Amino acid sequence: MQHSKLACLALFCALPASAQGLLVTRADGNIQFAPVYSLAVNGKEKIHLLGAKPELSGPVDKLPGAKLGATLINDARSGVPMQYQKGGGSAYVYPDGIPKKTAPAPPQAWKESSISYKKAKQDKVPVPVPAGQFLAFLSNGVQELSDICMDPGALALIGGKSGAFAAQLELTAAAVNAFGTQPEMAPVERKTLDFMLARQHRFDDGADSVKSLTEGLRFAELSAKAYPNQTEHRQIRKQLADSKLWIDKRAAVLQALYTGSQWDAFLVSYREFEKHEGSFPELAAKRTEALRNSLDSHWKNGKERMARSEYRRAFNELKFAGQRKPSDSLLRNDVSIAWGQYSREVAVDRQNKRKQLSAGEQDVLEQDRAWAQRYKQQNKLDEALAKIAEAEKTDAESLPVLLTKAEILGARKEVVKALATLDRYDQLAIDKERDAGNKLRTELLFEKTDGIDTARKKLADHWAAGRYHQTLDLANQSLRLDDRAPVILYYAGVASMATRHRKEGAALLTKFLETSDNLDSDGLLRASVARILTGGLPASPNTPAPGDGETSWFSGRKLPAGIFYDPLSGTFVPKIDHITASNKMYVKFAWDGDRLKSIMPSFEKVQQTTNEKPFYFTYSDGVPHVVAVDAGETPRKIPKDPDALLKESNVLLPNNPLVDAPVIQKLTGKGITLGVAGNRFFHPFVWERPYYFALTYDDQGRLQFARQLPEAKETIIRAAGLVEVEFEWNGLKLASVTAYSLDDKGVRGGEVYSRTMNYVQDKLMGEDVHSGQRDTKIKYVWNGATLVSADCGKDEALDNRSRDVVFAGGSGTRGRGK
Amino acid sequence: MRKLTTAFLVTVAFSLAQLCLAQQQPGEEGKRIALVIGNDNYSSQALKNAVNDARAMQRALSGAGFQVLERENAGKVAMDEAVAAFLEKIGPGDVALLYYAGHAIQIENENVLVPTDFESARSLIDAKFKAFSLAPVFEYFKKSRAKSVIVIIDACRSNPVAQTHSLKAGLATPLEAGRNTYIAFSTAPNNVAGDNPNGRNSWFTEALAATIPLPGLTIDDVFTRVRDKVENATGGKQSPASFSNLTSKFYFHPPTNGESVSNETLIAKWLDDALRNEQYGNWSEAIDLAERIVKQKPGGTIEETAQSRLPYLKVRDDAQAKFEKGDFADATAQYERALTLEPFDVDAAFEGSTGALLSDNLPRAVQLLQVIRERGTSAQVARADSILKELAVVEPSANAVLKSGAIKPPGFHEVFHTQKFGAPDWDTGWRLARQGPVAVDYGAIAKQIPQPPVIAPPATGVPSVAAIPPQPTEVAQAAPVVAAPNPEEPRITLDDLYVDVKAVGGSRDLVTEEFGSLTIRSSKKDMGVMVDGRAVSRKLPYTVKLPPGKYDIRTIGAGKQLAERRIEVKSGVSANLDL
Repeated sequence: MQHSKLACLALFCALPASAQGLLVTRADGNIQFAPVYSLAVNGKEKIHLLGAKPELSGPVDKLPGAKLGATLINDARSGVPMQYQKGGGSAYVYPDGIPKKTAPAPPQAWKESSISYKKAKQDKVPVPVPAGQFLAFLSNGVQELSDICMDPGALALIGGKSGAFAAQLELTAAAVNAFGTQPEMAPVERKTLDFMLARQHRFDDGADSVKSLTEGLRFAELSAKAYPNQTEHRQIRKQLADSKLWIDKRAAVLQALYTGSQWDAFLVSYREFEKHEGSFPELAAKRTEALRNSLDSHWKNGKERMARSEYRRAFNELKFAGQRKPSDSLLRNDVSIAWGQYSREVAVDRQNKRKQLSAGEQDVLEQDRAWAQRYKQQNKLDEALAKIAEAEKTDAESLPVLLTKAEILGARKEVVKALATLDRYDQLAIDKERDAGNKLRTELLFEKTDGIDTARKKLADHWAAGRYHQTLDLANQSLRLDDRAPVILYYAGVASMATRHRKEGAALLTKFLETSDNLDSDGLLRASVARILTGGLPASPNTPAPGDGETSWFSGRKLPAGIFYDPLSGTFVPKIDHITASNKMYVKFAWDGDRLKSIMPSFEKVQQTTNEKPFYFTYSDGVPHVVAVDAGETPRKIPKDPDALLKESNVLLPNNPLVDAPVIQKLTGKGITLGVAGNRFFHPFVWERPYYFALTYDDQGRLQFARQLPEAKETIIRAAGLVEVEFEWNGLKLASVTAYSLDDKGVRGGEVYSRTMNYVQDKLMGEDVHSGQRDTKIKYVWNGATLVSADCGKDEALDNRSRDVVFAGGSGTRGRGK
Repeated sequence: MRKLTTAFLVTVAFSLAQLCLAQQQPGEEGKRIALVIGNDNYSSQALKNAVNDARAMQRALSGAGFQVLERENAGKVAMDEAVAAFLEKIGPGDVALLYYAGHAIQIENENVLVPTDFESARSLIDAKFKAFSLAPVFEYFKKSRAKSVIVIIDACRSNPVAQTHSLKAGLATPLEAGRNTYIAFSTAPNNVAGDNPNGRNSWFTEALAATIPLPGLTIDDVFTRVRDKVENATGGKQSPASFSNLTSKFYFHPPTNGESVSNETLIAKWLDDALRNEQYGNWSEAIDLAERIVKQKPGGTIEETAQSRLPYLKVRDDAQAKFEKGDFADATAQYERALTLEPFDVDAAFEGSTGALLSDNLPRAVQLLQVIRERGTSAQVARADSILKELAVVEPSANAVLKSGAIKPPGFHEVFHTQKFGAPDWDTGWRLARQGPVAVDYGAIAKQIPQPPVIAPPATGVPSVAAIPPQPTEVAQAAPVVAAPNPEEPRITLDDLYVDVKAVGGSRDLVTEEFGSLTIRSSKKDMGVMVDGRAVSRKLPYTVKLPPGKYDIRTIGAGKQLAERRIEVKSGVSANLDL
């Protein structure tokens, strides 16, 4: 975007008081804004609604009509404006004033229409707008313009073939230039910053690296012009510029190393670049070529060194070549031959240095070894190993001792250690002595290969089924068979991370990248691991929030003072003693210390009984949050096994110590966090039956969306009738809850419910409830600094009962007091 | 008397044991036992040197710590007894050596020694039983669990049995040996060895007995030298052969002071090995060998060479280790150090540039690539350029280097700096030559070539001042170090009367650009002039341009020195010498 263009866009820097709407047009390639009091199409202030498609489905006079005044955005693809409603409910529109009998198709109808507007009520002559210049009419003026700048749906309409991003950049630049100083535009600054941060994060994650970076840099240009001195903007702009320098430099270095035939160096340098390879297919192909060339070169060098009897170096070269293509059996044979020659050479050199035992020492050693063998026969492998350790004290290089040790380690399935012991054996044994070692090595290699093959399948099953602890256990066992098998390292790494051992997981995944840097590897898997390792992982929400407030009874997380809704679960924090509801319902909350045990509804008369169920809350030792909420008579029994516990739980919050939910989300793309509410809209005092939700969190670890899950019997009717609840936070304070309907495909529709919280300093004073029917309120009653009770109006979107809520004495969340 | 004898024997045995221990290798716990047999007195075709050979070997082996049983002119029974006594002495861990000089044959691929009382045989089977087969001896060796077995047969000189039974000449390739056995024949299997009729010992044993006492030689080294000596002595007709399946090194005389070796040839081999390892990039092996040489202090060129290579080898080794460890910046620094030690080590420049690229130091990488452009071969320069082109996208200095075009050739002093190994980089020379006159100032190059100290004489007439030879117009003309004979060059024979000009001490600074001149005059005009052994004129007076220094001027006639004078030539000064 050129600055000179931007400069001429600002036709109006402030809207006249009489104007409410804003007209957005594009003339001569520049976006322009005009304040609008009223809009007319073909001189009329009325339009027809076409519905979800920009086409006529019947006679125009049968179409529903609507008054002009709501937001209209021109769909650049179809050329038909849409009455736009964020979050759903939008509809294409047809102009009024067109001869109804010969009504052309909507695009043609709009081409033939004239659009005009008045800036103020008193204006007598409307200002005409050529239909081709019309982009949008924003009924809520600059405030809406600010929203539209970051609304993908609206931007997609405006952008058309050029795409939403181009529209966003153009519109935001124009908006900032025209209205940058107005308070309504303040969110744009934040959103521009967020946009740049998001693109930087996407780049760091290796997600569409070049595209993300390019978009980030385009916005950085905008930021540099609009917010040149804002510190956060400056920082992220620098970060984006540094990233660009880095990626360009890295790509050039890789090209240089490739051109210089420095294959191994190319592969070393490629490691930190690998996550970006999706944007550089040419370099990805060169990596494969580099691997092949590296393999050929080391193989050739190894053979040449073998021919020159340089066995140690030959072995190293061939081993290196073998790592480039572990599946090559010919190469494996060459490695074995080189090892045989090299180790024999070492053995011959060391033959004269063998320890000479006295007869007594020899007896002691043989006795220890005999004991070890007996223990091994009895499968007392720990004792056997202890005896071998004794024998090693006498002579650590005794061939029989080493052989027995390798046998015992093999019996313990510690093949890695057994093979290492045999390596030592080989470097000491000559001629016939080597036979026993070779025989045992063959057996161990078979056991290793077979064991890894079996483990590979089981690990994949465990992981896919979410049995993260079993995955980790099996992977750790398998690492004793082969600590360089990429597949095992991968599962050990991701399972470690999934079970909250991030450091160990990172080390294992780093080793995975090292060992899988070969022609047999799964490139996509490697790229995903590289992204995990270098892109950063989500922060763990386990860190206690600062402050001196309550601990959430639901999540078990300590919260600062003045927090009434738990940011992890969306549940109400103060402890309720009982609720008296209209229609003779009484609900008792039973507490066991800080833990809510049950919620028991009761009715004065049997005939007044409704469908409300008792709730039981289940806890598990070591898990701070509620692990299950059930409607029924008793709490559920929870198994000890962590994977079984997770499977049995219907509540799983990010602070669950058994799994790292944000990491699993990043590793698998699947959200595993689950929450519960007593109603569809997280109303704090309505407990009809358990409603289950899949929870997602923002980058500060606050609950952002709760998508209602169908109950088992509802799954066949898919998502229709379910809701998605969006939480808006101010710091850690819940600001509002908005629920949207979901269609049968799970696509979000229009808003169906909202509650807005009212705070006075640190006290929650009330909530405004909008359900599209009758608005109502929740009022909180304070006694000094203590929350005493709440008074809920009838909520028609729920059970239409009014409620008096009494909080447990002395346990309610305290405000900071007056 | 009996007690005394026993005490004496014990003392002798103890002394022998001490001697054996003194010669044992580290880790060699057993005895060294040898049986030496020399048979001359055959009834048919007696030999002259076999007994001498046995005695020489007895001395050599005793010196190497062997308990030696020696038998001379042994018949069948004596040989049986001697071998039995020998085998009885061998125990586990011992080193057993059997040496035989005399006639031997191969019967049905079996090696058979011929006792002195062997006269005739009715058949091959008869011959086999009357002679002494080695096969059962090898069987005993296998059972004895000796640590090493060495069998040396200096036989097949001229074969009395072979002649009567049309047997194959020479000995058979040994098939029956057990493990850890070393077998040496005085000649290759199926060939005949000479007895050295003019000498006291056979060529083979003479060489062997002389080589065994050298310390620090493995048995392989010993027989390599013996083979060399025998082949030289026999004009290649006789080539000793050896077969080994020893699994450890055997020294007759282990290295003194651990690894101390005084033998020049071995040290020269170490140097060869060091240089070969250097060539293959086996830095640690090369360092090990060079350090071994330095430790031995052999002096001379070998030590100087090894000493001078060590810093470079260590730097390369360190650079490689750092690179492999991922310390790319440090590795680059070491490669740069290697370049200061070996300015034409283009490989180090490449490795260094790679290290710099991996440590994100692009300007440094460009500097090293520039070095390659200056000093590399055409292919290396092309490779460096292609790398620079890729880097130019992000690194301005790479672009600048590429734009700077062809590289000015390095000075000759730089080219030949520390050129102690290998030849100068001729490829670089050709590349520079091909770049044409615009890029290369041949005149400037020629000026760097040391001026010849001798000024060519004029073709005709009597010059007062010698002409400066024309500057070379092509590098190729400047390159030869040894000038081809010039058909125009004056000829002076030993019978002529001439003046011989020679620098005192025979050395001058050949690269100096300072000269003085000397005009030699005499009443005799038909006198030739030789400077540094090269005829430059047949007439006097003659002016010669010489580097500053002292010169001996000798007048020679009919091959005899008639007069001698010493003069000093000073820079820029013309001097006259009247004979």
